[in-house]
Amino acid sequence: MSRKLQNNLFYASVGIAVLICSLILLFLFGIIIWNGLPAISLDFLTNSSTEFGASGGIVYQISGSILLVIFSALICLPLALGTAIFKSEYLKNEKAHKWINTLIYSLNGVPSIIFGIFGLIFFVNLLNMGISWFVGSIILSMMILPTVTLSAYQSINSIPTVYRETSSALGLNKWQVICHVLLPQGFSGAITGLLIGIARAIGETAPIMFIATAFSGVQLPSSFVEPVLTLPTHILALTQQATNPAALQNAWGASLVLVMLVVIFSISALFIRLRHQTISKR
Amino acid sequence: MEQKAIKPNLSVVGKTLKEVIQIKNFQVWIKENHILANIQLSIPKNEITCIIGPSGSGKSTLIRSINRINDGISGLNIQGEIIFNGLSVNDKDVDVAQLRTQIGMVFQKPCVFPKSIKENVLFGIQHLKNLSKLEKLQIAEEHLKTVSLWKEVSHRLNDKAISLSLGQQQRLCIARTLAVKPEVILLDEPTSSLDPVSTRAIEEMMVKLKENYTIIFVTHNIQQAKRIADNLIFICDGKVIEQGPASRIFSCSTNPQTKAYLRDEYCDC
Ligand SMILES: Nc1ncnc2c1ncn2[C@@H]1O[C@H](COP(=O)(O)OP(=O)(O)OP(=O)(O)O)[C@@H](O)[C@H]1O
Ligand SMILES: [Mg+2]
Repeated sequence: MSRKLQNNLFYASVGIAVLICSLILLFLFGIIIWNGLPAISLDFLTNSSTEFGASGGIVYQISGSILLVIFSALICLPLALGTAIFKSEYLKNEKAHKWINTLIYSLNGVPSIIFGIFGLIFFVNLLNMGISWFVGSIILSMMILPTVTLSAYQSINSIPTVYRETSSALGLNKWQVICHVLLPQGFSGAITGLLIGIARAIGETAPIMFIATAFSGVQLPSSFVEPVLTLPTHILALTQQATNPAALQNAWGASLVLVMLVVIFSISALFIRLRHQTISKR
Repeated sequence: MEQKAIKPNLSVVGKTLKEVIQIKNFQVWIKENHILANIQLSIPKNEITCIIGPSGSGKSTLIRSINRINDGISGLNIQGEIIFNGLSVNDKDVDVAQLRTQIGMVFQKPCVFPKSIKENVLFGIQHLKNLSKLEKLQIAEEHLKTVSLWKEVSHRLNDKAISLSLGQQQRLCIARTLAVKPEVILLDEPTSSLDPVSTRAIEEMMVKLKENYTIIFVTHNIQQAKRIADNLIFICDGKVIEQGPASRIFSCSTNPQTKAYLRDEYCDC
């Protein structure tokens, strides 16, 4: 085989891989938009649902989902940044590093239903907190913690030593170096992690459906220990009544809204990241 | 004003010449390697002391020990004393951050933070909360003028520092170090990544700065040392081979190793 042919073959096979990926994505988006768009109207977005979702809108599902992921991000961010700083600045022992990595990867590998069961047993049964959206946020933050921690760690760890040395040589103490040099950089990494984490968390049903959500009849929570409605659990409920065309229609509509939320989160995270200047390698 | 006029006379007299830093029996090991052996040095005030020596001889290790930037290296072991204005810098109760505000350092490659030019100059004093905006601007102006960068950047203080040329960035780094108001400035081959024009600009700046600061300048470049050094320290293989007034060493060193190095930039010790 000539080298040129080999090159072309290789080029073609990577091209095909990319094409297949994009086609799958386009197909998914296409179907969701095609089926979901007819369901969407201002009324659908601003009214509460009736008849278990077969009619009415999804405003409280939207607000519930947003509430859940925003609080899970708020809980997750300081933990992730703290772990990342500790790991890159204080932990010198190789073995301990390996152990922490193993723990982080294991946490990431835990199936989401296990988080749900854990929440149910620990928070609801043992601590007797009842069905609460805040517990849902805690559970979701545990789920996205590994992703956020690792990306914060990577961006902090990639800061060249000379930046640490330069700032210490200017008389900054360790804490000031962390605040003025490392955290800004870690923050932008954590945002990237959050973007990936939230996109995953907002679509999760299993971890929250026993502990944080109701299926109907709930509006905005007025305390930390009330259930909320969420989009994924709503979609689940609607697909269970798939024989009813109105319910199916609304399921597509809610799915489209869910996808749009993920897109909005991603874009805003991107903006935050762009506005935040970071140390780049030269 | 008068004091300044007196100063040069005093240094001519020589007797009252004050030593800012004294290094006594200083040794460094990194893991099993003996990097510096038995260093005895004294650094006179308001002069430029150049440290020369072949690559790997321990020049960086030596000056990085003075402001304790080396502390972070794992397996570091030291013996002996470095005394700065009567203070033994390796004492347990020394406030290292405070020490580093008195002994500033400029590194080999210009290292600017992802911030504006002005913020970079103020980086070392940003936590002093009681400075007004105007005062900050004045401080930035003062130090940018000292490093003769003011004319070039005065109209774009809020631009990113990374947009400056390498030579300008290095001068910015020096201004940033000066803003902390140190007494001693350590420079580790500050011009080795710069063009000849920027290099000359920094050399001239050093000669002006020594009026107010004590300067320790590591260089690979013997010609450079010839141009700016008042004192010379020649280090080879972790040992001080010769030290003294630069004029004497350059004109009539009696040490065969120094002579060889000054002639061929090569040393087999
Ligand atoms: N972090 C470190 N770990 C292990 N060895 C080190 C470390 N830093 C320096 N050394 C060793 O110490 C010796 C002196 O290094 P140093 O950087 O002080 O030399 P130098 O005179 O500054 O050289 P150059 O002119 O190339 O900068 C070298 O043999 C080097 O390998
Ligand atoms: Mg060096």
